Amino acid sequence: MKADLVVIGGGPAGMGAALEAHRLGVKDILIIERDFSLGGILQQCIHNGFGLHLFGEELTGGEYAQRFIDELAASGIRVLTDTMVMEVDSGWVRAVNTQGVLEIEAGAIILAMGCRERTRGAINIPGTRPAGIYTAGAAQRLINMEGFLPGRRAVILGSGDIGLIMARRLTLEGAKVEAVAELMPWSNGLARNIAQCLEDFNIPLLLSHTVVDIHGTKHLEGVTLAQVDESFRPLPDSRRYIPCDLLLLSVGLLPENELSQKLGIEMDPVTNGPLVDQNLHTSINGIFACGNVVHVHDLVDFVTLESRRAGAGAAAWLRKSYRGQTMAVTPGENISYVVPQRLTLPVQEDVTFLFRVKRPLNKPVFTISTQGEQLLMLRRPVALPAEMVEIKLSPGKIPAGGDITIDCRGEER
Amino acid sequence: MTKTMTCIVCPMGCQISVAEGEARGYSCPRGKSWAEQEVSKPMRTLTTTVLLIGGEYPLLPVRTQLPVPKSKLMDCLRHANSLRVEAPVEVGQVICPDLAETGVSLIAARTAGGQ
Repeated sequence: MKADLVVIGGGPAGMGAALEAHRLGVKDILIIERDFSLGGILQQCIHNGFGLHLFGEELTGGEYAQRFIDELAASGIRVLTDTMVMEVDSGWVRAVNTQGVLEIEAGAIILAMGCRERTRGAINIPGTRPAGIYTAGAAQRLINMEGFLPGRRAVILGSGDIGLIMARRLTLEGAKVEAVAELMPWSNGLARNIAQCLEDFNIPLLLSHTVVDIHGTKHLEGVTLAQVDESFRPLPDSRRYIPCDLLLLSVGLLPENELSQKLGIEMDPVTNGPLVDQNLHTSINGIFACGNVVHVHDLVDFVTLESRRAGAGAAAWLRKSYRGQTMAVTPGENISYVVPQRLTLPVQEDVTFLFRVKRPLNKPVFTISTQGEQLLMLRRPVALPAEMVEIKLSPGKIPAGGDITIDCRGEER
Repeated sequence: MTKTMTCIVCPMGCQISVAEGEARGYSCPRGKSWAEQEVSKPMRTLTTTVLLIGGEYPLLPVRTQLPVPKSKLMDCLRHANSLRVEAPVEVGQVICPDLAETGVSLIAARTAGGQ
C-alpha cells in the first residue's frame, strides 16, 4: 500500500490535518483509526460548548466531529477504521487489522493519536483494589456510548473539565455525586464548568483535598478523603469516610506516546509530546504531529487550528522536502512550556505560540524576547495554568538568529 | 440586591454581577443578555442520550435545540429517557418536537447509520 500522506488517528486533530492537506492539493491521503468510527473522543463528549471559536456556535462533541466526518466523506480521503498502527518510521507505517498486517509507504506522516488519561497507578492512591474505580473518560464512554452506568454513588477525584462534566452527567443519569475533590488550591477546570456542572446541582467542590484510602474488597465500598497542606501532605484530623460505589479519576492527561517514543523522536519533557517547529514538523524528516499528542489542549477548536498548520506543513514538505536552520523557543519566567519548541528559518507566516503559565497571576504581562531584546509585549486580565495562552508573532518581528524566550510577570492571585 | 454569577456562554467564564436589572463585568453582548436572563429565568441546554434501535451504537446523543428553563431540566430528562429512536438518524433530525411541554425540540447530535 502507498499514500502521499498517512494520518495516524481519526479524531479532531487527524481529520483537521487531513482536510487541510487535501485543500492545499495533497490528493492521496489515508487516515488510520483504531476505533470503528471517526471522531475520537468527541464521540463520547455529548455535552455542548464545542466550536465557539471556529463556527461561532455551541455544538456538542458529536456535532463538531460530524462536520469533519461529512467533509471527509465528500473529499475522497481514504479512511481505514478498526486498524491499529504498530510502528512508524520516516517514510513508512506498519498497521494491523482483521485483514492482516499492512505495510504502507508514505511521503509524509502526521501523528494525531491524541492523549490518554492518567490512572490510579500514576498518583499512587493507597488502599484495596476493588472494582468501581474508573478514569473519568472511560466512564464517559461507558455512559454516553455504551449505555452502562458504572455506579450510583460517586466521588470524583480531580476537577479538570472531564471530572466536572462527568459530575453533571452522573447526576443527570440518576447517580448521586458526593463530592469533587481537588488536590490543588484551585480547580483546573473552566469557570463555566464549575458553575454549570457543580453549582447547578449543588455538588461540593473540595479544594486542597485528596483521596487517602480506598475501601472494599470485591467492589468499592467507600473512600477516605483528607485535606492537604501547602506541601500536599494529608492532614490526619481532616480524614473522613464517604461511602460510594464509584470513584472517578480526572487526574490529568498524557500525550499518547508509544509510537513517537519507539520512533526515537525528540520529546519535550514537560508536554510529554514530540518537539515540533512552527509547521508541527518533529525532529524526524517528514513526520509531523498535532493535537493532544503534542500537548494537551483545553479546547478542540485550538486542536483543529493546530492540526491545520500540521496539514499545511506536511503539504509543503511533500512539494519540497527542505529543512532550514532552527532556533529554539524556550519557556522563561512562570511559563511551563511553549509549543512550538523551535522555529525553522526562514519564517514566512505568522507564528502561533501556545503556552501555559505555571501559577495563576492577575494582570499578567507576556513578553517575547531574544537576547534581552523585546520583540512583543502583551497584557491580559488574568492568566491561569488551566487556560492555554495564544500569541501570534509576525515574520517581520522574528530575528535572523538566536533564541526566543517567553516570560510572564504579574500580580500573585 | 446584587447577584454574582459565572457566565457559561463561552470558555472565558466572566464574573458578572446583576443589580437592579443592570449587568456588570461581562465582556460581550451575549454575556450581558445571558446574565439578565439568568437572574429572571435561568435557561440551560440539555444534552443527553436516547435509546437507538437497530443502530451501529446502542445510544444516540441528543440535545435541546434551544435552552430550556433550568427548573424543567429534570422533566425534560425524564421525557428524553422515555424515547426510543430507530436508526438511521441524521445529525439535526428532530427526535421530539416538544420536549416536556417546553415547546423546544430535541434533536439528534450525530449521524448514526443502521447496523
